[in-house]
Amino acid sequence: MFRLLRYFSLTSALALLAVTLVLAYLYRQNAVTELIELAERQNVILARSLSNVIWPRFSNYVKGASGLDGDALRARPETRQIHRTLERLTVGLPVVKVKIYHSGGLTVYSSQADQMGADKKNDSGFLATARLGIPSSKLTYRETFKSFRGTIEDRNLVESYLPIRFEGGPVEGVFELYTDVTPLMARIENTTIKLVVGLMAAFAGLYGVLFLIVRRAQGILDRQYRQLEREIAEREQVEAKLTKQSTLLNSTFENMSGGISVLDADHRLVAYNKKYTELWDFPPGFIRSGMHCDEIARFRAERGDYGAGDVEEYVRQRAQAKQRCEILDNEITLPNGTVIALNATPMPGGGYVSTHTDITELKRAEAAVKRAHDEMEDKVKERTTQLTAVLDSAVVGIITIDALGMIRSFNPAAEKLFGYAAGEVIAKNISMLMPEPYAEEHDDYLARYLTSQKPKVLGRVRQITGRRSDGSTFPMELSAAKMVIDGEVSFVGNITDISERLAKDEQLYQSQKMESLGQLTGGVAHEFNNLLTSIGGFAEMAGRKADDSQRVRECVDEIVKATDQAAELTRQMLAFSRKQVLEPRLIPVGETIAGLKPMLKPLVGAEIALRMEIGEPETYAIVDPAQLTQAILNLAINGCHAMPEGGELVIGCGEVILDGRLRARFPQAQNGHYLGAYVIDTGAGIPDDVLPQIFDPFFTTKETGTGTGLGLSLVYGMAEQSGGFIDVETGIGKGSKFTIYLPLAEGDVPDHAAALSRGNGSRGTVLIVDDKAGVRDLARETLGELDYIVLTAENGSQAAELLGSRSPKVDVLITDIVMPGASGPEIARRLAAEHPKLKVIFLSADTALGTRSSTDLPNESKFLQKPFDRHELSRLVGELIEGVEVAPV
Amino acid sequence: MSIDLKNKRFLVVEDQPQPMNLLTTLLKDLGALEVFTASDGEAALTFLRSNDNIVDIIICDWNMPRCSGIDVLKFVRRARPEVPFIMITANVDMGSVKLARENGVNAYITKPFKLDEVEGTLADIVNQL
Repeated sequence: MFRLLRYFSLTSALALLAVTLVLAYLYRQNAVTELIELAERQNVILARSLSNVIWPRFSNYVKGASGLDGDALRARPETRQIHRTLERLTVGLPVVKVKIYHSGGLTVYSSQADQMGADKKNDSGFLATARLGIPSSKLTYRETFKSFRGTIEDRNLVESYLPIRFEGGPVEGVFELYTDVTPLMARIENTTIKLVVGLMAAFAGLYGVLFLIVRRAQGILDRQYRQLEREIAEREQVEAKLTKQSTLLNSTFENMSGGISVLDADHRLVAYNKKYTELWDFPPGFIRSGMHCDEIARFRAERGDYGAGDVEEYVRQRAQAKQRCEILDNEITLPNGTVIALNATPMPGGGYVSTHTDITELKRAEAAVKRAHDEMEDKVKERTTQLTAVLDSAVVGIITIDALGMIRSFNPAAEKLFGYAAGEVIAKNISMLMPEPYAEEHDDYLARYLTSQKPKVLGRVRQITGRRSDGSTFPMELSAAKMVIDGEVSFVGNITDISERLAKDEQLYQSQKMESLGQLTGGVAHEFNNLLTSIGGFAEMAGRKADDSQRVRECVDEIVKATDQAAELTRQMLAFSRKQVLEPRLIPVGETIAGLKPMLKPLVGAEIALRMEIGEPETYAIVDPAQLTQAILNLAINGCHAMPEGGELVIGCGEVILDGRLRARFPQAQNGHYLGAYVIDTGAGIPDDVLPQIFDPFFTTKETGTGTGLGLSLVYGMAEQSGGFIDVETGIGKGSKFTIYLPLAEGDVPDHAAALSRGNGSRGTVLIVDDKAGVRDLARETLGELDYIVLTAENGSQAAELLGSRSPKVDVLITDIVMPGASGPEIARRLAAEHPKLKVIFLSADTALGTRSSTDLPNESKFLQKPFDRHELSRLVGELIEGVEVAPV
Repeated sequence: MSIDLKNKRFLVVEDQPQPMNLLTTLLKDLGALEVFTASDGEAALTFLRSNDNIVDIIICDWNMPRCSGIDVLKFVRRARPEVPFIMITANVDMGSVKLARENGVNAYITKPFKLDEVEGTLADIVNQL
């Protein structure tokens, strides 16, 4: 690009500077010349005046001085006279020095004395003046100069040779005058500078104006240039794009999977691709640009594409259709089997673009999909029929619910279980099949699960309670699973009524207990014989020593001691043989096991040493205490059988953290702390071939009549039901260790349980009605220790009196069922009419009552078997007053 | 029935405290010179091994941990065949009685026993000495 501004700036600046300098130089030269001329003219006039004064007096001297040297000349009086005359004559004149030459060139006089006697005949200025008789001047600059009046400095001087001649006569001598023109020169210099500055200013103004003009021109040029460049680049881009698009379009056009043909407004073929000719199977060379579409229609009619009719008629029909912008054949099957779909799009300005697509495979696939769909529908129908049959015939109840808990399906078994027809429950909430409080909790649970995705029920089998249409409840086993169909969550639950199974379990447990009792009998009899020996012996001895009161007292002490032991033994036996409903609850396992010692001692016999290892008595787990007792007894009996020659039996429990071995063996075990209750014997050990079967029901190594083979399987079942497991370690000749692992009750449960066992310290008021003073005293003592306020009454009327006068309310009534006068239930009903919130515990020695349905007893009542356990009594009272219940597993 | 136990030293072997107490009280009442006690069979054997000829009559329970009365009887019959051995037991079956007899027991008393029964047995044995 041409840099106009730059070149202009450079050249015009240089030119203007050069012009300024040249003009200044010329002006100065001219001024100096004029100055010299002016000075010369003045000097000529001055020289005339001097010559007029000097020459008449000293012309002869000057003319005759030839041959004299400087000293001689300086010594001459004429020299001094001339000097004085000139000094006088030049006062007030710019003449600073005067010289007088002999016509032959000798310096006869000089105001600067040392120059006298010098020869100037070869000086060009002198020669020009002396020979031609014309003045000759030049400008000189002297740094120092000796003038008439001393030495002067820094002077511009005009030095003029002036002829001395008279009236056309020859040159008689020459004057040389030095005139000081320094002020004039200074003025010339000053003027020159002003001139230069003025010129510079004028030229700068001119340059500025020109610069602006040129700059604008440069701007215009630049813009035009850039515009031009852009246009060129754009054009190149467009060209490249067009080339690319054109190539792409051509390539696309040619390589399209479908055929394309383009007709102009006259229905002539103007463009087509290779696929078009291939698809329609036109002969090579037939299709060409410019041919009319009628020609193509005719070819196809002749070939039979449209059918076997009149060719011309076919052609005519298609031509007419084209006029109407219609397509007659949207889908055509060619004689070779190819199916072609045709589509035409009118173009602006007339003509069509037609696409021709091979849809042979698509047609085949459509047919295949339809066949598959039909088959699938048949299968779905078949499966649905099967599934319906399965659901209808299933013995377990199967219910599906949606994410909101609404029942979706309800099979016949479920109808039978719950006593509802499917139509009565569909679209209703599942909670209608649950008793309180589960019904109320269910919606919350479902909502919690849907937000947290943490299942409580899913994937495991749970024992819960169901509610029938008549309001009665039944125990059931539920296994639930989640289904997600089309993103919609629903749940399916399988329900089994386990009333019968539980009853059988109960029966089995009871029979097992009886078996254990049989085992116990021998040991107990032995123990009793020992105790009776003491009692009898000391009684006899006391009789003999009736007069020795000290001895009698000693004997009686021994008798009482033995009697206490016998009573404890009896109590354990009774407690064990009592028929109880199985109910897992939170219990201090260590304490429960420790309490078995009196019963275990006779069981193991004297040959076997019994050792109890109770690590922490208040270690809690949720388990049925009777089942746990039974399990420990079973293991202890087995241990004793393994040691016919005697040995040591260790029974204990403690907290354990599962190690890698146990976790590997029991993958169902959860991380965390367990409670291990174990029985160790030092017997024969269990052989490897027997070990895998020991927990199988009815498997026994004992002789016929000594064992049912159910003991270990019950222990196994108890551990599993309590969420735990059982492990055995054994070695031939070394003995065996059976450990029941139970999940340790977590969090605040132990506190809670401790609170229960203490009666929860909530210190309510309890009224005890029993005709037997012993029972009243025991209950008063037990509950009194736990800081309850305890009132006692012998019968119903006393109780009513107490309740009537009692200003702080009585929370719990504990009453014997069978009493002289009003019975327990009667008293309870009577008092409850006035005190609706009264809760009742019935006492009875009749075991049958304990297993009766709770409907036989008034609401809010509990049953306690006599003789009762102090722990059990305080637990029940705490439960009723606090309303806290130990949740079943 | 009068019985003189003035010069007799007894060893009573019994693991239950009450019968042991009863027997020692009875023997002292009857004037026994000394009554040694052992709370189980092993203790009895240890005592007998280290105290040769010190005991005149042994009264021993059958059912005891580690070492039973039969084991003690067998030892005594080997080491001190002349010492009378009275077995006291709650085992009342004939098999047990037979086993004791076969091993040379002098008398067999079943629990619970009467004091007279013990005294009578002791009298018979002392008279035979």
